Amino acid sequence: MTRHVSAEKLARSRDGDLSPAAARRVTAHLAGCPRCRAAADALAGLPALLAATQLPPMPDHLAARIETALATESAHRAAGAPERPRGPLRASRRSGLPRWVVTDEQARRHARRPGPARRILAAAAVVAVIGGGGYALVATLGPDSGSTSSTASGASGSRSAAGPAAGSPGSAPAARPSGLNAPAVRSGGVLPGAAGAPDFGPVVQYNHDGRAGRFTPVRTSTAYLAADLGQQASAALARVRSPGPSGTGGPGHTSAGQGPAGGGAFSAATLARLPGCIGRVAGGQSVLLVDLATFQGAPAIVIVTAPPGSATGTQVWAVAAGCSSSGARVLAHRQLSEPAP
Amino acid sequence: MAGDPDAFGVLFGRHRERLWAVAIRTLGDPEEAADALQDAMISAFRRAGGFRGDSAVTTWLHRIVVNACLDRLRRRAARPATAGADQQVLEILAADGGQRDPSADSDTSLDVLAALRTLPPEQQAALVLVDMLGYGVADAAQVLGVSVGTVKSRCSRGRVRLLPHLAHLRNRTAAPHVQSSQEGGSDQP
Repeated sequence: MTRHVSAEKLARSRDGDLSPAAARRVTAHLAGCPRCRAAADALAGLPALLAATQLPPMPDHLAARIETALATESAHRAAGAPERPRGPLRASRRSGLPRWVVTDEQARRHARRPGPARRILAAAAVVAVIGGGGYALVATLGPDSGSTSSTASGASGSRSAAGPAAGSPGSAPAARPSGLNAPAVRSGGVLPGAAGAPDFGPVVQYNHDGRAGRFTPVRTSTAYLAADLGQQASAALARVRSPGPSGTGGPGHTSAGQGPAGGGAFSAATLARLPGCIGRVAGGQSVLLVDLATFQGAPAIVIVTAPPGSATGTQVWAVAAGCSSSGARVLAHRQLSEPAP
Repeated sequence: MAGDPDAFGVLFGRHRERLWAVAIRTLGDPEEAADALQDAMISAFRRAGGFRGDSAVTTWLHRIVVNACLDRLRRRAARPATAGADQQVLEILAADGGQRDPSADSDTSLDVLAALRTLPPEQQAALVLVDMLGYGVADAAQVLGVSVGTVKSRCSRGRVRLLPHLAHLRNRTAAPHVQSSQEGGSDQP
């Protein structure tokens, strides 16, 4: 008997990829060799075996995530930032809107394997984002949003070194403004202890694509929900500012010096990632709030930005924890349409 | 189309299941498949201005998705396998189960996916398109940006490598002796 045929030669024979002479030799060998015939049969059956592989259709929450990313991308475009703006800020065009690709390995690691409840919530959140935001969201950046947060722009002018002073626990009023209770109670949206003062971290400086700024991360213990994100962010902003503004700063603003260490609530790893994350999300806008909190029950960073020197265009971003310079997974995006309280 | 958001949303809606089928088979991990798909769609969105015509768009979208998956496969090759991924697929399969016998189908599917993971990324991608999803060799060649002959040879070599892993699935009683030329080496007499 001729020597056995290699599996590769069998495969090439099946594909008609052998010379006629070689193909004849293979055929002749197979006729007299059960072992190689069995291998050839197994090989022939492989495509069917592969084709029979059952895999699930795309889960709704993953489809929703992609749709959110597309809507966010689209929102950025609609806002007039087709490409990453370079050079000096053009605040009047609000061209400093951030843009990013969601590829962050860390974000993926943090966000993966959500529990069943969270999957459902995430899907619901996305519906809300797309339904209430998406393209329309930034399309309303025009004049009719002129009332958006005189507070925001006022505050950006009045930032002072007082921020870190608010960091000592108890220095802020314990009672929340009554207006904040409604959403909190309705949604169970504030974690125990949220009635206390926000916990301030150290001032963090960032530099992203040549745009420098600084901010003071806080923990307001707000459990942000998709349905209330805008309202909750306004409330958090108000709480953070009530005793004294948090040190935030767009380009050109002088801001607070180094504050208190911030205690253990702000881990070194988190603080190390924040500059890149915020720089990416802010994209040159002033950073009004960086709240290390939860969104839909999962760790998230809620960021409020506003175009420098503008009274309009205040925006809220909820990004998954793990956000860094290499990627930010946007969970939700709102424009603040009402003045911050 | 030119990046028009509405048109792009429609485009994604139209192709998402087929693109998902490619991504989940190539990567095996739902979260990672979704990430790859998302990267690809954003990337496609940004470059959408240059493309016209539905058939071209289909191929083009596939190509971008396959490339996003291949990038991840190559990166993954540098680090240990994620142990939880298969379990995740299994959970989704179970939740999705319906009338099927989840254990048998899922086991076979997982075996196939696990075997596929042992191949070089290019062979995986070729087999996903041609054998798993039934794309024609010419279509697969377009999507992969290589010649028809290259697709054929990647498929052949991939099948040969799969054979020792999967022979037991075809014939559980008598596993055939398979003389495999290992490691994708060249043809031996």
